[in-house]
Amino acid sequence: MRRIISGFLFLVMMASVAQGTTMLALSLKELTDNADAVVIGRCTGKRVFKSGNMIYTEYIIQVEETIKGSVGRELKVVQPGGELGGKGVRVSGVARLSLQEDALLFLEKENQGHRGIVGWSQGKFHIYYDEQSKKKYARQELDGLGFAKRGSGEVAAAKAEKLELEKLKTEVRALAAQDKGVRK
Amino acid sequence: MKFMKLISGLAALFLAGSLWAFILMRADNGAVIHWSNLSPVYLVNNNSANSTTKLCVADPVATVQNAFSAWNNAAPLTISVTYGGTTSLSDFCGKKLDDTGCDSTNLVLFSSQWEGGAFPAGALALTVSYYDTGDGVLGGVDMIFNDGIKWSDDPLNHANASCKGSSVYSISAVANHEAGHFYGLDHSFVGYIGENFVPGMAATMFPVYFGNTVWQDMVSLEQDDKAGVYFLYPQAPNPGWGMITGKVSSQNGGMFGVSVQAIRASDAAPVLGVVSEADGSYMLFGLPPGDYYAYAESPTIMGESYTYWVMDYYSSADKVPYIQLYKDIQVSSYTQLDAGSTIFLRAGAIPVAADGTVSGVDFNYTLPSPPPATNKGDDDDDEDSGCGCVLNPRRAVSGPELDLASVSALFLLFGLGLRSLRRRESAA
Repeated sequence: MRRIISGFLFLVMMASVAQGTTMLALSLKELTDNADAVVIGRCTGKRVFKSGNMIYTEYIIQVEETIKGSVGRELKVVQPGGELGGKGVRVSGVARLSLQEDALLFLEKENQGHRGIVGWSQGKFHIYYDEQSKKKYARQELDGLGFAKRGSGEVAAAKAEKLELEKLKTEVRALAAQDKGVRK
Repeated sequence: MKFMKLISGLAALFLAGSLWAFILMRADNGAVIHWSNLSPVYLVNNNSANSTTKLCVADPVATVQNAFSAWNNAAPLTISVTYGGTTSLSDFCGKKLDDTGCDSTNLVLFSSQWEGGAFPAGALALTVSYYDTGDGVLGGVDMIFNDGIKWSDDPLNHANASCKGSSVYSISAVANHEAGHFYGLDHSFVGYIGENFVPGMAATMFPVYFGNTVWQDMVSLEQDDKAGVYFLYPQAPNPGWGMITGKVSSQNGGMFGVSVQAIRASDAAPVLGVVSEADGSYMLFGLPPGDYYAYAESPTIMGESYTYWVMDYYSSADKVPYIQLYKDIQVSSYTQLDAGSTIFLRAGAIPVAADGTVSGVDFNYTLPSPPPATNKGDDDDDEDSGCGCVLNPRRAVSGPELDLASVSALFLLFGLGLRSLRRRESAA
C-alpha cells in the first residue's frame, strides 16, 4: 500500500525525472496544455514507414470521444521506431498501441496529416475495464521511462496510477478549460 | 569440470526451449537484440555539447568513456565497446536504412534535435538502436543527450552552485543506464527489499532516476546488470556464478513474461531478476554462491502489473494473480518479503554453489476459469492483420528467427566449453 500511496503522491507532485529514454515527467496539466487535442479512441490499424532517416509507426485511431480540441472521426498518430524491410529501429520511451486497444491520447498539432503524442508514452493512457468495480480505468504507460522526485534526493519511484476514466476525463476537461482561459 | 557441467546445463536448457535469461531487448519476433560485432566502436560529438554542459561537466567524453568502461569490465566479456574518438558527425545510422542498412556509426552526441525530429516534451536523453529484424543483430546504436538540459558531474555537491540543484541532472547516471541499452539490455525490476526501494541495490537498468542525493547509486553496476551483460557476451571461464532454473505454470500451461527474482537469504537483498519465456521456463543466471529465496510475480513497478515497462515482445505477458514465494507460498504483501520476515521460515532457501545449477524451482498458479484477461485485452492473438499489433509471443518464439538465435548461442556456449576442455586437457 505504501508503494501505491507513494506513487500517487509522486504523480500529484509531478516533479520528476526519468531515465531509459530519460524524460522529465509531465503533469496532467502539462500534458493538457501541450496537447492540441485530447481524444479517446481505438487503434484500428498500424503501418510502418520510412521518412527521411527514420522508421516510423503510424497508428490509425478511430475517435470515440474528443475531450479537447477538434478532430475528425479518424486520425493518424505517428511515433518513431518500428520494423520495416528487415530493419528495426527501437527508441525507448515511444508510445505503442495494439490493435483494438482503447486509449486516451494527448495529441500534438497535426503536421502533414499526422499527429504526435505529447511526451511520447507519457501522453498515452491505456483504457481497460475492471471486472471487480465494473468501471473503466485508464493507466498511463510509461514504457521506457522512469521517475524520481526531482532534485530532492528523496526516492519516489513512480508508477502509473490507476485512474477512473470518468474522473480523468473530467479533470482533463477542466484543465483544458483553464488553458483556454489563459490563452484568451 | 564444473564449467563443463554449466555448459551442458545451459545447452540442455536451450535445447529444451528457447530459453533466455534477464530482460533483454528483443525484436518483435522475439529475437534477442545483440551485437555480433564484438568490437563496436562509438564516436562522440563533443563539439555539440553546449556551454552550460561544458561548465558543469568537466569532460563529457570521459564521462561517456567511463560509462562504457564500467560495462566492459562488469564481467569477463567477449565484447569490448571502444571509444573511436571525437567526430563532427551528427547524422544517425538511419541515414542509410533504405539502401545498405545502417552505416555502423555509433554516435554519442548532445543535441536539441534528434533524427526523428524534436525531442519529445521533457526528454533528457534517448538511445536509438538499429537492428536486423531477423536475428536481432545490432547495426548501430546512437545515444543522444538533450543539450537543453542542465547536466552536471555532481548535481548534489558541485563546487559551482549553478551546477547543482533540483533542475540539474547527473550525466554519469544517465550515461551508464543508456550504455546498458547499447549492449542490448532492457529495463530490470530488481530494486526492492520488501516494499522499500533500495537505491544502493537497485540495478542500473532499473528504469528510475533515483534522485540527486543518491545519484552515485545509479552509476554503480549491480549483480543483475553484470549477469545480464555476461549472459549476452560470456567469456570463459564463468566467474563462478551459479543459477536457478525452473518454470512458471498454470493449469493452462507455461506462463509467459512473469517476473522471477532471486533475493539473498541473509538480508532479502535483490540480486537477480528475469522474465519467463514463452513456455514458462526461466533461468536466474549469474548468482554468486550463496543461499537465495526466489519469488514470482507479474512484472511490477510499485506493486502494479506493468508489462509495458519492457519491450513489445513482452507486452502481452501473462499476469499471475499473486506473488508466490518458492515453494508454493502465497505472499499477500510486499512487507512479507522484508528481511527477517517469518514467511521465509516457511520457504526453502535455495543453496547455489559456484558454477552450480539448482533446477526444478517451479511456480504453479491456479487461475480462475476463464483465465483473466491481460492488460492488452483481446489483442494478444492478433498476429498479423496488417495493423502490425504485437505478435503473440507463444507463436513468435517458435519461429525460425529465434531458433536461429538459440542455435547460435548454443554453438557459442559449446565452443566456449570445448575451448575450456581443451585448455584443461592441455594443462593435464
